[in-house]
Amino acid sequence: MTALLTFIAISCSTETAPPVQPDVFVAGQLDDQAVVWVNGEAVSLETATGTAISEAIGMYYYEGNLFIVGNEQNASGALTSVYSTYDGTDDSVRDVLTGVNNTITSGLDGIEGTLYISGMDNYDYLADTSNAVYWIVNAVSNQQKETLDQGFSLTKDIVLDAGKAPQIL
Amino acid sequence: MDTYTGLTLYDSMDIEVDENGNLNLLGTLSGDIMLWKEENVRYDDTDPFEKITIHDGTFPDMGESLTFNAQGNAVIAGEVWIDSEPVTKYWVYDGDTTETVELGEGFAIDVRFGENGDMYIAGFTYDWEACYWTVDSQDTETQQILDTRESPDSGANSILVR
Repeated sequence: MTALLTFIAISCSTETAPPVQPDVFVAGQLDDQAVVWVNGEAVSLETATGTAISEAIGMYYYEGNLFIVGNEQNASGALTSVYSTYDGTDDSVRDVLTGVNNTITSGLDGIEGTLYISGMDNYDYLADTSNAVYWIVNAVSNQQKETLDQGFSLTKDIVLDAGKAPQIL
Repeated sequence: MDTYTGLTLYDSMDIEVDENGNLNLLGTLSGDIMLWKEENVRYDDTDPFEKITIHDGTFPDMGESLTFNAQGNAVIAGEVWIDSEPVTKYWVYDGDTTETVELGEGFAIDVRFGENGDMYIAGFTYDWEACYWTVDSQDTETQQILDTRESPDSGANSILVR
């Protein structure tokens, strides 16, 4: 009996546990609404009333929260930069990134819960002009905007070199 | 960084910092997919960047997203046009040579690695289906379609795995 139990114990200890499948989050848009697919299932993100076009363009994960930045365009054509916080259980929470006139986001990175978001404001479609900016949003949703350049300037993405200043493309 | 004029397309697509602290910029120049690399970038550097051609192509071939694998090699996802159709590819640059892998029809938008070492590429098919590809450590490729309605108003822009 003891030998049998020993055999069972050894057999159990040598079994390989199945690999844990990670959660896969994909941000984008679904019929003009910002969406995040969580393991293939679409989760709509809260949008402003009157939103005509909405898209999610970047994500950052920190301590159980998924932060998503995106853009909205209302029926009159005004562009608004937004970010949403999604904790996986409740509805997402939407906040507006403030700027001059039309604002657009282009990228997102984060460190210890602080968001760094690249984008543009004062975008003029007819003149094709905008200001290159980035926003810093801290863990309690206080935000500040830094203007990099004005006139014919835009950003594409932002990345943080750990412990150093943000690098903006 | 070099400056070009009179070309059909010159665009910057992605920015990443590698494990050595180098700043890496991914761009596209008339279908050539380019990587610019530099350590300790300063505003007053006149010609700071090392320039690497990842793909010698033609417009509108495009490198869309840049990341780094566990070995520290640059991995670039994008698409090239073959017989008037987009083909999703990724390139692995080890500092000397570039390996090219074809995933199939479609556009790549964002590439990242999971902690499990698998690579994930978000994008969409030529029929406007949002999707993502997974490439595991054995180089086995799978594709998951997220939206089958073939709507140009839908698409995948970013992927995150954890």
